Amino acid sequence: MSEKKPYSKPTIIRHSIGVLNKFGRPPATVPINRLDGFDVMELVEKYGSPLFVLSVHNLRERYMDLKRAFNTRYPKFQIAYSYKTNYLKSVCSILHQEGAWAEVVSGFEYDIARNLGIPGDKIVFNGPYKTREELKRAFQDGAMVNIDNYDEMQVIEAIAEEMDTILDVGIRVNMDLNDPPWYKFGFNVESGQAFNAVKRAQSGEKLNVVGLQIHTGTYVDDVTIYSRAAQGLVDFYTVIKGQLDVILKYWDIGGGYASINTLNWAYLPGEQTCPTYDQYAEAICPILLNGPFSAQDAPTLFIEPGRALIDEPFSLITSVVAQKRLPTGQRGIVLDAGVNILSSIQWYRYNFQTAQDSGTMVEDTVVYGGLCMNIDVLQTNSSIPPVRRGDLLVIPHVGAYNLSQSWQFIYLRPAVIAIENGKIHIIKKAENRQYVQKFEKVPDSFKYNS
Amino acid sequence: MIDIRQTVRTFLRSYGVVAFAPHPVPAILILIASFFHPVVGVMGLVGNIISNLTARWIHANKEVWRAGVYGVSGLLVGLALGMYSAPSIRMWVLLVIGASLSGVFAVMIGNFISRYDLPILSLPFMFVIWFILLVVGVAKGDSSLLPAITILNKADLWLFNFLPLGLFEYVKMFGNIFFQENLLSGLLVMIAIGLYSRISLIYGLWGGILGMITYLFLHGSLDGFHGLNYVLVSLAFGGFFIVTNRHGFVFTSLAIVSAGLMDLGVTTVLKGISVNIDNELPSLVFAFNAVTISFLFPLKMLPHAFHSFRLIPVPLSVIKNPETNLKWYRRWSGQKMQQRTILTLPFNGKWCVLQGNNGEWTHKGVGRFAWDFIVRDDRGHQAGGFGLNVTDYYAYGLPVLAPAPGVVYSLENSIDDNPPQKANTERNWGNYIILDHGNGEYSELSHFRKGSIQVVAGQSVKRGEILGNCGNSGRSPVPHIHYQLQSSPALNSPTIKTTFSEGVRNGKILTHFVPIEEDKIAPVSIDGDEEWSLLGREGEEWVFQVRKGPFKFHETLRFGTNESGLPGILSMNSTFWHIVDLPSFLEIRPDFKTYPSLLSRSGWMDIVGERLILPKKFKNGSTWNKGYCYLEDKIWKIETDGKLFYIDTEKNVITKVTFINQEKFSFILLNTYKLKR
Repeated sequence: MSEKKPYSKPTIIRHSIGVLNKFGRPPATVPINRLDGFDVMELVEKYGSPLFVLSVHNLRERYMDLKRAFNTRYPKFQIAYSYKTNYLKSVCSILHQEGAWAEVVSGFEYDIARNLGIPGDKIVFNGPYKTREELKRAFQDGAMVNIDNYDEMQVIEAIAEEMDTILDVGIRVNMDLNDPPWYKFGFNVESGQAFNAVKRAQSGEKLNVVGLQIHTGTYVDDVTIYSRAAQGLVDFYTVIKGQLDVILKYWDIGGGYASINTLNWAYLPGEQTCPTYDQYAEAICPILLNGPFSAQDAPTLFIEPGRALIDEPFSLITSVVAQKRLPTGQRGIVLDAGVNILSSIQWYRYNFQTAQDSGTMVEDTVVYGGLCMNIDVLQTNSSIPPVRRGDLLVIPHVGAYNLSQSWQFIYLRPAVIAIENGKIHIIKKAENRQYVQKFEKVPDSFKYNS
Repeated sequence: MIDIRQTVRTFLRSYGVVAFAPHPVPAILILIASFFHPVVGVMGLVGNIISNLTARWIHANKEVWRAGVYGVSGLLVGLALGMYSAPSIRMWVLLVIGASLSGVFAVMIGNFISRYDLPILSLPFMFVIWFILLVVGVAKGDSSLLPAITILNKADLWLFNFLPLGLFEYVKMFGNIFFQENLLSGLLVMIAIGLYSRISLIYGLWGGILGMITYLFLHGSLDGFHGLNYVLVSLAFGGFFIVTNRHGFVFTSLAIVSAGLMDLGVTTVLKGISVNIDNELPSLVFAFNAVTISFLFPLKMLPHAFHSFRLIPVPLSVIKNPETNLKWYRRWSGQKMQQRTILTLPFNGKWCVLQGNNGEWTHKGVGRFAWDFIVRDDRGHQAGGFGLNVTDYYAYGLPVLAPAPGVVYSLENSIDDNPPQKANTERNWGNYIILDHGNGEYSELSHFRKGSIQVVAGQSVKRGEILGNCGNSGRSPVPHIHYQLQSSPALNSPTIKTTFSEGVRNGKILTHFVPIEEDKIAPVSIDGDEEWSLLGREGEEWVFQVRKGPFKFHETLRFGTNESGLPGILSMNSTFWHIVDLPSFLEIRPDFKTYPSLLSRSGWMDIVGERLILPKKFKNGSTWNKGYCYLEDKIWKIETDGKLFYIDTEKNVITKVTFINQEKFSFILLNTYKLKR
């Protein structure tokens, strides 16, 4: 006897053909009921909802793929993992296990890396705001520091004087690559500012420019931007080598590599537009190898991937807590995860997939988060099959930024588990009230007496 | 300025050279032996000193001078004069003239003959002594007046009763080398030779026996038998000038017999031209000189022709004694087996060997030393997606690098890429490049993507330069790189057994390894740029003291460049060792261009081994298949190939080298100094 099919409420919806068309992907009706071999329902029963799940195997595999793509095209290559996208200790640690360096942009991140046991000379220190103390510590540890602005250069020169040595530094540069161009980080190449910065650094005789760093953007799914950045670096290096006798030890093409997620304003879904690692590498490496050096003296190529590595291995399991019919006739559902833990919803059109078989009759649905705020809308038009209170939804590819940018508001932040080789590890426990209020203090005079 | 110790050593060595034991210790024994006839001994010593100083005075080659070969003739002139003329003022004057003349002759003959890498031997002595004796006539010195001689002669006479004549003469003829006519000096010389080399001693004894037989056969009796020519010829060829082996033994025996014939012939001729028929001009060591030079000449001139007979002449600069010659030969013949080109992997990043040497598909017969490289991801897949297009394959379009510096000899760039799983068996090699490495070896790389080759024929490429992109042309069902080193520039040439100089296999750094099927290999990439270099400054010299058993040697190594400007280590005997720049290792190997005569230093001076590999950048605890290194009290200790190097971090020089598990050699660095310009 066949199993009884789940009941779904009769609704009238417009017919759409189930293949990819210009309106998007086919409706996601195939349930994701297992994550890395574990039943989603059981995971939630054990660890609560919502729940972040990391597939360690996937993370390691992605790292190796990325490394292979660049390593086979460029003789000296190193990945520096961009901490800011997800600095859970376990995540960083796994990537360091695989050989990644740390790319940090603040003293706090620097501290995380050092605390994990990463030696200073395997840390790349970027970011527009670094305090004098942080910089000094970084130079004492032998970290790679990329200078963002003249003020910082002066501080570093003072540190060099204090340490009575000549410090090796990198210069952050920017170019007109995107629309609008990213001029925030570093010195502009086209206007001659970057050349002056290198000249200024060299002529102070306290600093020795050994590296260039460029940050091309974020979620850059156009590989030609990297090609142009690479060409820009080659041209700039040729100039500073010829005129200022600068010999680079490294150049850093930065991060910003896209992930499989779809941007809110994207026309085609991410899995179609996201370039492969090989395509990125092919866009960058051959151009860089045209630089003014022989293959054996090539500067080490650094990349600073974050999103491209970490987005896909993470999934979020969330529960439907309510559903309602809006006055427009559209269906709305409320989830226990809101923008507080899915901050990247401001860019991404996430894919909400059911964890149980809910039929194939998808309906255009507004997805609300659980916050008591009108802005807490996760998606305004998501094709979701009928779901009820208590049903689970799985949001794949949520690793980047969500965890490091999450905020604690009304609710407590959920647990994060990692699965590898059939074993579950809790890598971050769910928060509790005591943790959140740990540093709070109520003076006696404010005490409420019942 | 004259270094007294060095000078004394040179005088002593001259004694050793006569008996093919050029070292001060055996030389002292020989010196003592020569003094059993004190007048002869003193005259020999004076002759030796005068001859050596004359050579020094006229600026003979310092290295050769130190070896003592310029003193030999003067020494012999002194000994012979003591033997063949009555002691008088006239004789002493003649000694001074004769010894200095032989010094001059030695330098002259040496300069002339050394271009054929032939030894001087005692040729100057032969000229000088005959001239003198022709002028003053031959007279027997009256030795009976001297008490020591009397005692020795009595002892000899006493022993004569017990020992058979053959044995008596046999031992005595070793003393004959130094014009001593008694048993004890013969014994001493024998001990001296045996101390320095057992092989020489055995050959010396064999020379005596064969010499007696020859003399008996030619002359009918042992009357007037002087064995020294036979012994000397035997010592010369018995492992000293050629490498000892079966063939060498036959050759030596032939030379001994010839020496007998020549000696008797010359004696007869000399009898004819002698002024005084009773005291004819002695033939002395003419036969030895003539036979040695004439037997050595063809070997030196046509070394390759005699290799098939295993008759290996040893370069003069290499010779120490027969034992070290053997060692030198073993090493040298070993080196011939290896490829000359230093190869690095022709790609970036981690690749996988699809088909190795003697592969099951195409690497067979003369083409067996070849590799096919592909890229696999961690899941073991060669392609992303379904692999329906060549572009799906990871390897497709990846840069292919020059495995060694060279000149592009030929290439093909216009063959279409096959779809996956199809192979073009008409144009097997597809798009290919052949690189000429300039040393008789050629690299062949195949299956480039159509139109991707970036170099042109005649272009010279550096190691690691991008040649083109990996493709699927020719006999290639999936995109891959085919690599082989071959012995001629044509396609389908025989391949050469090859090792890659460095690489990473399964996380371990290997040097000189042969990748096998399913190996995941990657080139070594060095992080950071602080490279440690073994090279000293130009002109810097290191003097090593080398001990072996009771013997001490000094060895000087000099950092410099050869005529084409390549950096290397030069030993003072013209041995040149290349410092080969690998991306992450320094490899020191003999200069193949000086093959074979200036090839390598003698066996014991093994500082650089057959081939030494040191990492350019040391890290505490780094290991590779040939060794490991660690830091202790500011001293790097690097163990590689059974040698332990101590390197001072401050001076960046090797301070000590010891052998760990080979023989009991130890090297001690004496001093480092800069050569005066």
